[in-house]
Amino acid sequence: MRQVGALSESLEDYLETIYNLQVENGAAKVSDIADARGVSMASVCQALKRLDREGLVDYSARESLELTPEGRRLAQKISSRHRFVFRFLSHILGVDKDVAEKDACSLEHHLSKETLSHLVAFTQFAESGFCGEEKIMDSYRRSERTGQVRGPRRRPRRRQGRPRHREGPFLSELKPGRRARIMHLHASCAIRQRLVDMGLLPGVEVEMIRVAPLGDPVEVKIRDLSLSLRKSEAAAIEVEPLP
Amino acid sequence: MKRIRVALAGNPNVGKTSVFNQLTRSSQHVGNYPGVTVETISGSCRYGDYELDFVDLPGTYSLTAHSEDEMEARRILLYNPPDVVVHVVDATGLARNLYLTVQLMELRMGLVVALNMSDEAEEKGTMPDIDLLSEVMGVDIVPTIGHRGTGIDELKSSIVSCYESGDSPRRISYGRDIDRSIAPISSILAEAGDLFFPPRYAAAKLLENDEEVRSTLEEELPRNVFAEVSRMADGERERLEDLFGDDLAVVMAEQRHGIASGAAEEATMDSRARSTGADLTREIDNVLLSRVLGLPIFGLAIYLTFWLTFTVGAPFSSLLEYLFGQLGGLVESLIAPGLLRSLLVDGVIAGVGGVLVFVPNIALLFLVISVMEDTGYMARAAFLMDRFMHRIGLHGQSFIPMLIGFGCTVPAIMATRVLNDRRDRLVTMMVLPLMSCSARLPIYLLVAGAFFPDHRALSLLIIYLVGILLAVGLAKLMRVSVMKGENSPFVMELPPYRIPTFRGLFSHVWLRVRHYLRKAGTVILAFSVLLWLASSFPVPDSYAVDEMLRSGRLAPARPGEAGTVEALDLERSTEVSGTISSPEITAARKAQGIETSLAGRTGHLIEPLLKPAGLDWRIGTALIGALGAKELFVSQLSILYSMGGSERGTESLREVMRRRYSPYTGISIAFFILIMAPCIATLAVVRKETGSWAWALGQFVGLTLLAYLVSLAFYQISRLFA
Repeated sequence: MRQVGALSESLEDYLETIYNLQVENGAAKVSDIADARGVSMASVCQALKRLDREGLVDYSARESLELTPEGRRLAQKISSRHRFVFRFLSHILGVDKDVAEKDACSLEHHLSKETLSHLVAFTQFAESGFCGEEKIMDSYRRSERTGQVRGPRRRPRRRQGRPRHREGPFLSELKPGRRARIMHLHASCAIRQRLVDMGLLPGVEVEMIRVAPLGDPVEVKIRDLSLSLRKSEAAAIEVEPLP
Repeated sequence: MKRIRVALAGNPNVGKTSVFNQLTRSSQHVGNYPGVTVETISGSCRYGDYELDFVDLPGTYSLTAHSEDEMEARRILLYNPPDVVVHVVDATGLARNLYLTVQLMELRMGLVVALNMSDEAEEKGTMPDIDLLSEVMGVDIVPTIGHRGTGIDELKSSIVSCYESGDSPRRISYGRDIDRSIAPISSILAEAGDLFFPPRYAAAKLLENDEEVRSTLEEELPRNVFAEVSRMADGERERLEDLFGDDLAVVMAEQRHGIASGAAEEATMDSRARSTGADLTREIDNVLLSRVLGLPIFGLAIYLTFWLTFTVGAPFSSLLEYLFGQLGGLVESLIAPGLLRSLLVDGVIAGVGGVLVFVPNIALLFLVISVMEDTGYMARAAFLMDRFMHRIGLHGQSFIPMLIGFGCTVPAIMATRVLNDRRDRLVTMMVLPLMSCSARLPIYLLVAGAFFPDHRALSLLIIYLVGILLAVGLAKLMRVSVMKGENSPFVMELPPYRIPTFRGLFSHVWLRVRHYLRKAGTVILAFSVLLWLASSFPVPDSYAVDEMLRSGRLAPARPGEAGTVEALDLERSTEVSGTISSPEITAARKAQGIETSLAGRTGHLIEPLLKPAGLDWRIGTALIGALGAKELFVSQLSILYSMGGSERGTESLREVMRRRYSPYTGISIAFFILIMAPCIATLAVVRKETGSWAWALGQFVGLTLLAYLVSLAFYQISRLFA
């Protein structure tokens, strides 16, 4: 089994590009690869030949090419590393998205397996842990803004699920009669599973029907199904309002 | 003859139970409320050479293990697998129904889909192409109309041919990435030998981190194999969650939704529904759930429920009471006085009467509840009240049972069946007795009449309020202690309004009443006899009043004349002398009988405990009697005070109490009655509904303890100020 880092940095980048193009467009053409990497067709061909020799790509000078099973596996590894490093930089550390993208491109090749697994563990801890009453990440962002650092007051509780950075707007903010598309579910594991089971999942269109006379819960409609849910549950559903 | 075991699965409100009824011709309830089938019900029918045994699973939206109903359905499917599963699908909401089909397909059992409500789908123009859908999903599909019985024979024939062919549904693909992670785990599981689950299903559930499947595998598999697969699954899960950037269970659920809605879209030619019924439902809800009218209409509905259950039910209950009174009188006139007569009259007939006297209330209450459920209003009731109930740590659906509790705790406990979540249901049941039932009213009236004749209404109001506050506190307390855990989600379907069928209503009411008579009735009867034994035995060797008559201290008064000595005087001192009338002699005997009985001795025994709470052994004995039924407290106490027959009634008991006790004792009694152990009928019903003596007895002991503490605290504190 080939590990990340066994190839040269640039060949790994090529592999990743091919993989991404295949996922996005269904096929990777030499011209697209050249565009994506910002290099000439000729250098792409050079690289492809070397990847072919390594048994990672099936390239016989055709217009489109295939990754071999091993190539695909390696590419997936590189790609998921890339996404992880990017996420770590931008979501956890708060690095600007463009900078994070650039840094992820170079960092992804040089991280040892050991460091990576610790980073993954740390990310999980940071995203789900608590610093006193506050989530660690919220506390960190606040301290970044104010320049003030505060240690945890309480033993961190373990929470199920992995809350992401919230952006909003949320289903609970929708006015009756308005429609929206569900973007993301932030709820805890059990509630999220229940929401998904009832058909409240990303990509689905919902309409806010009404708010109960006492102000809670709310009634929403998805497809032909009327559902009631508490505002606290609706507040965990990130939506994109539709006109 | 060969038997085929068939399980009926499906979402709530898809007419699953009516299909079940048509299949088995048994009477069973058609619910229109999420989770109405709490226990599984079975039935059977013959088809050709086969005997088909059906079990009706609880209605579920999914087979993930997040609610009681789902767990139950899943356990039956996994650990007691049927030969064929029939999935009843609502043809008007195909995409969301097929989500469950996909999960059933994973179980790799013979599967037949009954496309129910096909008439409604036809009308709405959403009827899918059956052949195409069957092709896409790879399962046999039969259109049915449950309430008319259309398609039932075809369904039976499909079940048989599915059984004969032995085909299992095709494999579900979760996309290349996840499939690749499933494959190696699944092949290890397949080699490990016979499991409860199909290996691929088990592998998928391990990836999803399903606790129940995981722990079953841990028990079933050799330790090293389990360690290997669980390590693999954990690693793969981590990798995949990184890849998808989301919880894997959710990703896989999305994939199942994708398969379901893809198939539905492909098979439905005209996907734009001509909406009919749904819009009518919306119009109705615009009134019933509106800001202005929603709550008043709900209040009216509640008032009607009360009125029907208790006011309309009252004459029937009184009639039954009267009939049993007559029966008792008849037996009394036939049998000579003695233990046998007492056993029959005070034990058996009173016990059976005590069971039957609730039947009119229960039947009427469940008629109203069935109407609310079958029309779809019950879900709206929960929608309207959830905010208020959620505040006090309960669920919107707890409101109606709590309200019924003011009438009678027994039907109220049974009404908690509408709650889906077990924890919500248990908390509601445990605090329900604090909703002061109507049987306690005579006691409050006695106390208020004796000590606060000018403030009866106010004192009653305070007692009821204390009960409510204690219930709220106790519910909160349970929520943070024994019933800790995440609030159950309130995500609930508001089903379209439907007109209930007479047959459905009738069978539901009948089922409940039968249930009550069979299960609770036997326990209530047994306890009534036990209580009778406790207050009749042991019999005193001789009665003091007879001794005094024999020794000449007392002489019988002339018939029709009052004597100079009353039974109550005897108790204070045996030094009295004079004449005594014959009802007073009987009363004196009865009083001594109870005092020397087990109940009376227990009363004496616990008197040191009761004293600090301002109570004495007589009240203790009467409280033991009140375990049978709260209203017995008054009659028990009047016997103890030798009030005897009805000639002097509560009027004089009131005076005796005023003379003997302080107002603080009166309040202490009221608190004790309010909080103490519920009557045995409630005990029996709680045992039945929770399925365990632990909860029933825990409630019994816990509430009695609380009652004691509250009375004690009140009495002691009041003494400080008095």
